[in-house]
Amino acid sequence: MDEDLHTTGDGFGNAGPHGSDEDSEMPDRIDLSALDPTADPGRFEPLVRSIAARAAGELARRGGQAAGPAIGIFDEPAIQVVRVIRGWQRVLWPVAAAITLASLATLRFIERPSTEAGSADAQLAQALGVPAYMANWVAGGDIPGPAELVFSEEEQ
Amino acid sequence: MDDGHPDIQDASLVARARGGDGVAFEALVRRYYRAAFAVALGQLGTAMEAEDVCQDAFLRALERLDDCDPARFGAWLLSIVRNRAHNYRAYLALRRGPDLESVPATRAGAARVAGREGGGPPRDLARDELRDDLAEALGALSSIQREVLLLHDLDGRRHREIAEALDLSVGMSRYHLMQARRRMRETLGDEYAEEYLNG
Repeated sequence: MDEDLHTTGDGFGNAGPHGSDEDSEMPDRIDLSALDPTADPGRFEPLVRSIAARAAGELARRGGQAAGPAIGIFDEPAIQVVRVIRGWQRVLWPVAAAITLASLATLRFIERPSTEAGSADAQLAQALGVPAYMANWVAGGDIPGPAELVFSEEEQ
Repeated sequence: MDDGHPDIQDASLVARARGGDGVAFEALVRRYYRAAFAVALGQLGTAMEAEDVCQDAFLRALERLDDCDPARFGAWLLSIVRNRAHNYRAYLALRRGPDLESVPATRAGAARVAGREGGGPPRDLARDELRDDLAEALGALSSIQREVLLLHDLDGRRHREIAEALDLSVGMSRYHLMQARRRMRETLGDEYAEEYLNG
């Protein structure tokens, strides 16, 4: 079959709309060029670009595989982890600052009663139901006068 | 379908595409798009659906490129296109009822051509009408006749190539082509034939 002599490469290469040498044998070929999707570049190029764009992910995966396994901290997965952490950095800094402030405020609140409440004796007197002014007199070693006692009782 | 490097063989392009080379993959798309379209259009009958199937088939082919014998990429790709078009056609048949072969062909194409003669419409419009007429006439063929006709007369494939791609004998490929051409002429009519047929 002489058509085989004209076959290039794998026998199924680039043909072209009018490339068949059988035209000479069959002159009644029907002109279907109006249906040719490659005839109008304005239509064909977007089609090719669309396929190429949709293939980008698979091509990238293949490209990554072809590069072989990465080694060390600068390999692709490690770089991706660093990128993720770096992305979170913007959020993490304010959160860390807020947590620090909250912790400091809590510590201050906890420490204040022990310094302001006076001695352990005053706390004990309060626990026993002794009025605070009396506990302060006892703690301070003061002896109240009669007038002080009267006014204090009236205030209560 | 000329990718600008006619000496580059499929095997080389396939090997590069396997390694993630986008230029090589794009060259394969350009090289085989028309053949893929011919097969898809042969199965489906409408250009828009054929384009969708072609896109899908090229992506599928890329995913499965490691399964391909690089020396037979063309036939392998067309078998993917054919399978996907077949599945899509079955899906459409379920969705919208009768398939292409049950749609009656008309001679409206010939009538429209006759009506165009005095009007002198813009070239694009005439081409659109011609495309519609051809699509309508193709709808009167069986899917195998359409595939053979489109691969031969649109994509310029040889019978040996068509036989390989469609799993036919060369003799059957010739027979389907002859039948398809005869039926196209009958559907399109004599006036149409004078104007557009015979290349």
